[in-house]
Amino acid sequence: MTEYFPILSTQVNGSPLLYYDNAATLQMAAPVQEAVAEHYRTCNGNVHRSSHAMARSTEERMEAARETVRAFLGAEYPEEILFTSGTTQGINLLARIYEDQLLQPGDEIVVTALEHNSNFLPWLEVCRRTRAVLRVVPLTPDGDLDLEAYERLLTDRTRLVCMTWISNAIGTVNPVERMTALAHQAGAKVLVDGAQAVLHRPVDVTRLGCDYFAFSGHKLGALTGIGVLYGRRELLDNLRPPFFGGGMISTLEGLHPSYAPLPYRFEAGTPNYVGAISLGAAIDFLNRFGIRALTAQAETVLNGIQSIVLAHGGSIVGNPQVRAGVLSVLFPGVHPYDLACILDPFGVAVRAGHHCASYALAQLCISETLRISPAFYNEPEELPQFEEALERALHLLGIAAS
Amino acid sequence: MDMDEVQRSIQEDLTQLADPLSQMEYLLACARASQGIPPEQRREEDLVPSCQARTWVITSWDGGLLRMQADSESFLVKGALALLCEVYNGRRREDIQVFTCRLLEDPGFTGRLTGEQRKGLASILERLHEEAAQ
Amino acid sequence: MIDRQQIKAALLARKEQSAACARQICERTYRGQEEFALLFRRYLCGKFMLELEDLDTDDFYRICQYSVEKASLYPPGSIDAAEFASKCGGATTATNKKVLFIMALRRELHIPITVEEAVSVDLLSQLIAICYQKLEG
Repeated sequence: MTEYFPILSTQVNGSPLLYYDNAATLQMAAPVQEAVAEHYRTCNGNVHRSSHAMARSTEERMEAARETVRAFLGAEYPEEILFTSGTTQGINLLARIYEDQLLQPGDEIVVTALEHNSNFLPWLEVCRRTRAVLRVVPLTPDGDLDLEAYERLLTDRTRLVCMTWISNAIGTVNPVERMTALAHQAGAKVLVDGAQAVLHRPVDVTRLGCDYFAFSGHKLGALTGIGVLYGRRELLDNLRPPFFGGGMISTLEGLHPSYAPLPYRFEAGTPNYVGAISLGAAIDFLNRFGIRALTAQAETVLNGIQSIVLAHGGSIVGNPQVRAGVLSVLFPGVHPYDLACILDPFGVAVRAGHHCASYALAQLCISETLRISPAFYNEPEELPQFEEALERALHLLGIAAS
Repeated sequence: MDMDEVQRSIQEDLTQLADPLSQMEYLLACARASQGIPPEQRREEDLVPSCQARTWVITSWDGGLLRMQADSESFLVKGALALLCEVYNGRRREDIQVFTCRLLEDPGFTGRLTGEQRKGLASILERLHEEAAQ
Repeated sequence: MIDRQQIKAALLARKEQSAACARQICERTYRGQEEFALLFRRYLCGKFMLELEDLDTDDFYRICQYSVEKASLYPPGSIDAAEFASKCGGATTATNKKVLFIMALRRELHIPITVEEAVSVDLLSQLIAICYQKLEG
């Protein structure tokens, strides 16, 4: 894999890089970098505006990327794929639609306690503005969602359930298919935040049954600034666009716009077409190996890291039934920030903090953790270096504590 | 030594230690050597609001001289605070008012800290200078 | 007041000592096996974050275990019992440490000792003797 990721051969302070912050962003593979460079080398023009060869070629590439994303998600129609600037913007777009068009006072929106702020704060704000009610699915002490409590929260006033598939903070994998079915039985629609899941689970939105699905391209190794909001066509068809600008109308007669068909009416302004092209290339690259095989490799390294952490007196935050992608760890008497700082000159790149999921951590009575998130390009052969770095860091901090 | 001389001496220490690991060991050793604030004396109102790790700073003026105590859950921040105490403790208001602290710009001093932690330290310095100006 | 000069001096001295030991071994500037043994022990202490007085046993595996314990938060003597069976390769942390040290001997000190040779050695004094022989012929 390192042949595809030259950045992984970087040295940090004389130590080989161990990049274990993939939940934050995935490194970009060389073929994806080449696709971006090749685009700018050979054909670059704005899309859906001009008719010259450059523009037409760029448009074809962008629409080809849309089709690649459609197939990746298992969606039925390409017009169900809306390009956004990322998960956050996609969710905020949907939140604005709900605020303007779909919510009445007293309606209810259900979110879970595991949500990243990007799938928590928009709904908190929407409920505040519309006088709808926000319901939060609590956690069990193990860091799973309390599914009995979830069922009790679903009522005939529930309009939307927003759930993360895989927690970015503690790695809990939620039973989204089952939760979606329950939500539909209650008459609610479902939004799945797939930001972490897209790298760790094959996605089939038709099988999942969700109505909306959001993810970010850079979590798959595409450029930052590109993401996708999937929405079922029959739902999107009946929604008005919340944002306005160029490229999203069919006609404008005086003061009467006629909005463009899907998906363009929801893509106002110049789209991040290079981002979309990079996303198509990133998915093509990952499809060479298959998400299942890539996940298996990452899980092997994650299990090795878990063993090392436990062998050195650390604890793993949460004990969910199914975990993927990330470990949040704590060491007694050691602040996660200190550990992350001291691991850095040994080449180990990890994250410390609340990971924009402070609500989730607070439910577990924790404020910050050290988050370790290997990916498919990390290897078991790295583990001795990780272990040595951890030992030295704990040793230094142990001295400081004594 | 006056405040500029202490600051310069700290910067020289960090320069001599050169590599990031040694500089962090220096901060950690300063944390260990610091008296800090005993747990029973740490009050909520002394928490620095913008710090990610819980950090306490207690200041008082005794005969026109600053008395400063500081502690943090992060040993690296505690070490940085111990060095700031070296610079600021026992100084007169007028000395603090004319002093420019450059330690936060020194990569050896704050290079290992996050942006949020640096902002937290900056807010502490701002408070010290505001108190000195009163 | 913090004694910064003492802190800095101690840090610089330890840095220089580690670098000097490695340099003297690489440049073969020691005189005889006894001096080599002392340099080797200091180098080992630098890598294992131990003090010379911590080397109160000749059992090399026990030294590796102690180094892990000192860095770890488990009580002394409990390290192997805390290991999980799922640890990769089934090796314990202390065994990994031994292997890592041998790899450092080859990489940093250019001592051509194989892992198989080193694994067969139980005592630190034996390891020192083998390494001396490898360097001196």
